[in-house]
Amino acid sequence: MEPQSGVSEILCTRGEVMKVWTTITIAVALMCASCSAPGSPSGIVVEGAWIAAPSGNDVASGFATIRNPGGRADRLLGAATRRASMAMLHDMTITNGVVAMRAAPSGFPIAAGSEMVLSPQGAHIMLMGISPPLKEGEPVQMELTFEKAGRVVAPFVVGAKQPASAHTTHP
Amino acid sequence: MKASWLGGVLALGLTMAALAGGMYWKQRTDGSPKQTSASLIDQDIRRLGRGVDTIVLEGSRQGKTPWGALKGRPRALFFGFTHCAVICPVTVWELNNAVEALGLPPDTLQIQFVTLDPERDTPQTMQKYFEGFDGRVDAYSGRREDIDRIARAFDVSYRKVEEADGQYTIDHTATVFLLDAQGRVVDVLGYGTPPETVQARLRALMESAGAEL
Repeated sequence: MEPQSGVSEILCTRGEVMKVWTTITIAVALMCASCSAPGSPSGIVVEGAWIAAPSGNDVASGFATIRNPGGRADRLLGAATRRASMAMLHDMTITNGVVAMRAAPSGFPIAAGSEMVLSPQGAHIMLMGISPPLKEGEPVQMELTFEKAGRVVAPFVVGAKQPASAHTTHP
Repeated sequence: MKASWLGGVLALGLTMAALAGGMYWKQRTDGSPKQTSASLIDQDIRRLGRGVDTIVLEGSRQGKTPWGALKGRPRALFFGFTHCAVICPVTVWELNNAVEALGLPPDTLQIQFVTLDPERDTPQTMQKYFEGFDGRVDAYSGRREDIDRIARAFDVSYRKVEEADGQYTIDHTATVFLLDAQGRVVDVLGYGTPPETVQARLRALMESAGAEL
């Protein structure tokens, strides 16, 4: 395997080099996002956490897979971050092609030994009042509150593009 | 007596129409491969987007443009509002990802967005918003009644929903319409369609337009 020669052939412009570096940065950050949480005493694991934040908009949405490997059921109750004046749990329903999003104040249950997915096709974290604008690759510290496990902080990495692995079909 | 009988027939008719509509959407949004035969579904699609060519909207790039003048290239068209943090960006990403995967040259497929929120989405704010995406997205705003007529022509429904903090969200049809170069709707993609299906449908659209993929 000779990645060096392959890379130099493909990369012609500075812009493309930057793009690849950004991708690498995000990939590394995502790996860190998945490895930081297991050390927490709660046992809750937050994986593949990212934020869809195009174009310096003041709203954005957060997605992740949250695993509860422990032996007791838990419930995600809320989210908060310093980077947004408000973070809310939202749910999504699709009826005859019409998509509706609503606040989910009672949160989302996570059964013992199972996982829940916050995704663009379902439950997610809605961020409002973002200032200054989020930057691509920025790790946003998100505090997730669980009924049993309490507070778990995990970095959600800002993407200007949806990671290829992030697509999940609607259940 | 006669009036109630008529009412009953009307209600039954509407119920059947609603059921048929529901089945139609269910079939179109389950990600199943496109049928090649000229089925009832395809005929139903072909009636979309008609009769609105003279309506003038204001584009983020080209200023005031009659709807009919947007023809000429295959298009992926969707409706929404940019204050939505999920559907709009995800739809653009998924279309861009498919365009990239198919290796389409830039601008062979036109991605078009029509706002359902002209009070907040102006051509200027939308241009800034869509600059943040890799591909080219042309965004259109306009007078509320004009947008409503175009939305109706595509069977797009929407509803403003007030939120607790004085803000509002909009429930809306999040379907992507695929149009050929003549402006005819030839396929639809429901929100959440798997990437490989999006690619297959875009490939079919581009091949029918003469592109070699």
